[in-house]
Amino acid sequence: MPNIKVDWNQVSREVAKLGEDIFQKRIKGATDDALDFLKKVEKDVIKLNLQLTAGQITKEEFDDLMSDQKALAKMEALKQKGLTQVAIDQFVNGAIDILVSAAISAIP
Amino acid sequence: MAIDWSDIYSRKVRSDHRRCPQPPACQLKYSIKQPEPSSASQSGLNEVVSVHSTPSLPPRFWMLVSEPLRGLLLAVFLLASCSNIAFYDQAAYANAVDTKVQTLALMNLAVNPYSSQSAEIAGVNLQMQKAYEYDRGRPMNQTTLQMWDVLLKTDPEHPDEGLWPRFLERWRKSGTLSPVFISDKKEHLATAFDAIIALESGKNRS
Repeated sequence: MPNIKVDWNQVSREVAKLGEDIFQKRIKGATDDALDFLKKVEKDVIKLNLQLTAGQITKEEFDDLMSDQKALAKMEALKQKGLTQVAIDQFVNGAIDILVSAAISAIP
Repeated sequence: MAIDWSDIYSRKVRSDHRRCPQPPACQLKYSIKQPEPSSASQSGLNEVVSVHSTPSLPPRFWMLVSEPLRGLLLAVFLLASCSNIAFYDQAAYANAVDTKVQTLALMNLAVNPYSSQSAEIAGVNLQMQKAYEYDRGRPMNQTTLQMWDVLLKTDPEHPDEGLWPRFLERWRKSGTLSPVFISDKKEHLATAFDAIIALESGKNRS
């Protein structure tokens, strides 16, 4: 039986570091995107109210444009969901690389 | 701190052997056999470790892979089967960008009567359908498809969805649209397309 040594502490350290890098980046990206989106919605709603008051758009058009905001919020949420799925895949692929490297280096 | 797995493994094998020197063949147990004088002694082996398992499994196969490596391989196989979302696709990205450009260009024409632009409208609708169908055919692409649904599909339960058909319907009913309304709508449609494009460009490269 060959003398096989796997440094599990090193493996867990590397996996933890990988998760920290990927998910911290994702959380920051999601937070920045959400803040940008909210600022954009705020500006848009103010603009639409001004246009309605000035008679540049009808009440019907205003309602239609306000409905768009809900749809855009859904789109933004779906985008964030998708990018989080991407981050999970990056973590899984990175963890596989670490495990494979550990397995190869364990072979004497 | 490194763990000497082979030492732990050897101790377990010896301990199992002490407890059950000749285990029944149906039980998965390790044992230590003394080599037969004719074969093992010639190869210089002092002891041979074998596995008594179900007859269908070759007894020596798993011995090629040590116990910690087995754990690692199992973890790798489990993780490898857990992909969440499709990889980046250049054609899907190009479809989304082309559709966005064509859609915004068509919206500029909404100051003209709807009936006079029917050929252009049909062309853009066809382009959207192609982009949608392309993304629909990709595996693990549900999130992008849901985004296309919000953009393209009307749903009575969600009247705020279907950004594009709602615009076309208003254009058709009104005949022409005001430049201010068109400009506002263009911003919204551009934001919706940008979300699809951003997700596609953010996907992992295979």
